Amino acid sequence: MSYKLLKFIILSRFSKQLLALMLVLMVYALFISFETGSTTSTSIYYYYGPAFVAFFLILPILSGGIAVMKSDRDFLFTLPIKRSDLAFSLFVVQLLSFGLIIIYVLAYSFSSLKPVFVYALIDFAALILVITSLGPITYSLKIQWRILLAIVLAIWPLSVFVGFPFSPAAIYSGHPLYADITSIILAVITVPLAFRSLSRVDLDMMKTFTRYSSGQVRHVRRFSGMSPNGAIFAENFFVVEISGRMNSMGGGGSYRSGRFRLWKGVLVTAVLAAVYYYMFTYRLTMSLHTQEMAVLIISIYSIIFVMFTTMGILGNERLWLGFMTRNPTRYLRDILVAKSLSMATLLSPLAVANFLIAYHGNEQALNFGLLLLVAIPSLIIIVVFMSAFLYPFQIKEDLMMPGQFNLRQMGTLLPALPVWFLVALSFGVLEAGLTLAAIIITLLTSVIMAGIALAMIYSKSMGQKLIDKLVTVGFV
Amino acid sequence: MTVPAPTNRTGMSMSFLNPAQSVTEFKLESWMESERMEKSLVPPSIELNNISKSYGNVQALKGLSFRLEPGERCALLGPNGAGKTTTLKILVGLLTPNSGEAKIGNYSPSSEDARRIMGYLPDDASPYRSFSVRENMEYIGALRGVEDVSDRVDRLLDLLQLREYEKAKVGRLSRGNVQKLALSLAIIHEPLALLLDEPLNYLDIPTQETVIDQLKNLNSTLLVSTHIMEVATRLTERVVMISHGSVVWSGTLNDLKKLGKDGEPVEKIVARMLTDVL
Repeated sequence: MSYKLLKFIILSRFSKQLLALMLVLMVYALFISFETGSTTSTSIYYYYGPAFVAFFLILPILSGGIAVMKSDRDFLFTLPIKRSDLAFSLFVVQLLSFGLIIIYVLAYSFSSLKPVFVYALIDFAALILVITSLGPITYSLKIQWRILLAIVLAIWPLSVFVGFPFSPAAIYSGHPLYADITSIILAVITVPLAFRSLSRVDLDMMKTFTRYSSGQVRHVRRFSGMSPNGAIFAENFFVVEISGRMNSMGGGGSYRSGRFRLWKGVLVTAVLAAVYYYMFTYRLTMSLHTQEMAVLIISIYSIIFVMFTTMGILGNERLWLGFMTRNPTRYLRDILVAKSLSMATLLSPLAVANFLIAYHGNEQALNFGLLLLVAIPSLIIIVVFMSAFLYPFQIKEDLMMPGQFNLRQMGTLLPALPVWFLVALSFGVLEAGLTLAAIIITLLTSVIMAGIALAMIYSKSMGQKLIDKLVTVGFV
Repeated sequence: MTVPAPTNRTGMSMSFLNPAQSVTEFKLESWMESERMEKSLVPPSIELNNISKSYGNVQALKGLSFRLEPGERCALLGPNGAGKTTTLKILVGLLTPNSGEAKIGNYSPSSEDARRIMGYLPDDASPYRSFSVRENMEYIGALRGVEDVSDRVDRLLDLLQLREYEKAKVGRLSRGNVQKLALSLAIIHEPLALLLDEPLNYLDIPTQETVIDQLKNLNSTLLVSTHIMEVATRLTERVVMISHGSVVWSGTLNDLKKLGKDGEPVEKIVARMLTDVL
């Protein structure tokens, strides 16, 4: 095996500082997990564990792809390198990008798995290999197949909630042996397939690229007759774009994006809101604590969803086009306001459902409603500004990794922290029975976040600095 | 006659005043030029005065000054790293200079008035990738406030042989067709000032001829940044040569040819001049 190749491939994708930080985070997560006593409520992990296993299984399928750069396609893949060495090196990069993510997030659940510790280690090791392999296996599949596979792999871990033992997440439902068997079988199937895919990555990439870019737009959107503001609103309010470019450090992998019309999205959220309202009001016989956990998990998913919607906002913009049609800071403000309002509209049915649930006496729902309606739309603006200053990237090639993962990318996650903190704090306060305090905390955080977002978009000097930054780093 | 007060709209700087000119005369003249530009579609002048721009420790432009008269067509020549792209980005208002002043007519490049009359094509231009060809053209046309967007788009689709790709996503297009689309986006609003960075890159020969004819017929002041002398000679009548961020020579193409020996290709003359500077 060529260690030089391995070193080159890792260091061309990860900065040394980031690798050091990943090591520190992993050691910390493992240390905490082994040192924490088993006093933590196991019921938390009963929900938390399978939900996150499901999430991390579908993440590489829907968004990950493989960590290949344009320079690889143009130069590295043309060199006379042993295919097995290339595949191994790329597999290690996938492991660092996606596979290890499960350690940061789920290592804390080890405290509840101490009685079945060896089983848990085996299960986690196998799951890491499976998650690592899913990106290389699925990136060249058609979107329909990827969605189907993602659905299956989302349902499988969640099946423990209905008592199904042969699930990769069954370790959390008291079936450690079955969990190990399932995860090992999955790993035995997926790892060789991943190596096969990575050893012929150049051919598969071209095939995928040709298929990906061969599409025609079925319904051409018309802007004729619209005013300039109408066109901006039509593009940025009435159409929602989800961009997939994510790894454990908040950026990376290849890039994909999908768009849907706002009214279709609202239709979906309205149905979800109706189901959600019905379940929480009439159906759920869970304890209050369990309901809170469910809402907490939904909150975390919502924030992750927001991070996905913000990635492409500036990455897909073109300075020489939209920004040239009016004052650039004004254009930036106009598109961000439209996108923020679009997100608020998309989430409004869920927010209304939460307000109604709160009206029926379940106070934590009020927090969640405010989070959806105020904090998350504000978060979009803050994340766009932060990521533009810390790690701006413009999408010029589909399915390619735009650049090296580095420590600065971590900063793009920072704006989400106050929201997560808000969620955790308000739930903690609620558990302590201080409903009014929780509401005040939520209201204050929402107002502060909205204030920061407004200050950002209305500050001409900040807008100009952002645009200067984009031009300087090579945005076209 | 009431003379309008000095407006922010024009962004006029006093540094351009002719000492013999009174302030009132100057304001009147600027106001009249603005009115002429907006109402009778007269192309504006393009002017850079003592512009300096640094990126960290790297000085890209050092006291760069030149002027294009209204309707003039000029090529901006220079070796790699001379500062051509930075110059264009300052002129279109995407970069702010550290010192000095740029003007499009009487307007500051970042003003809405300047943007309304300006068209810009960057090097390696990439339109919105998730849009189709038509969506790109209609969206930018609408943002530009073009009244008959649909008709204008149809004309450009036919002119640049893009009709068969009308519904194709930009990601599907060949590099040449992307360049055709990019050119059409730069001229969709029939700009009075047009700044182009390597406009004929990737284009096949028949399309190059169509584009050259189209650009020559536009009623606009034209600044073309290029490495290729053929592009300069076909599209423009004057050359500004820059190196290390400063103008090293400026004059007409005929003046440039006179600098060489009999029958010496103009490329050789330019190469010699730039090598001497380097």
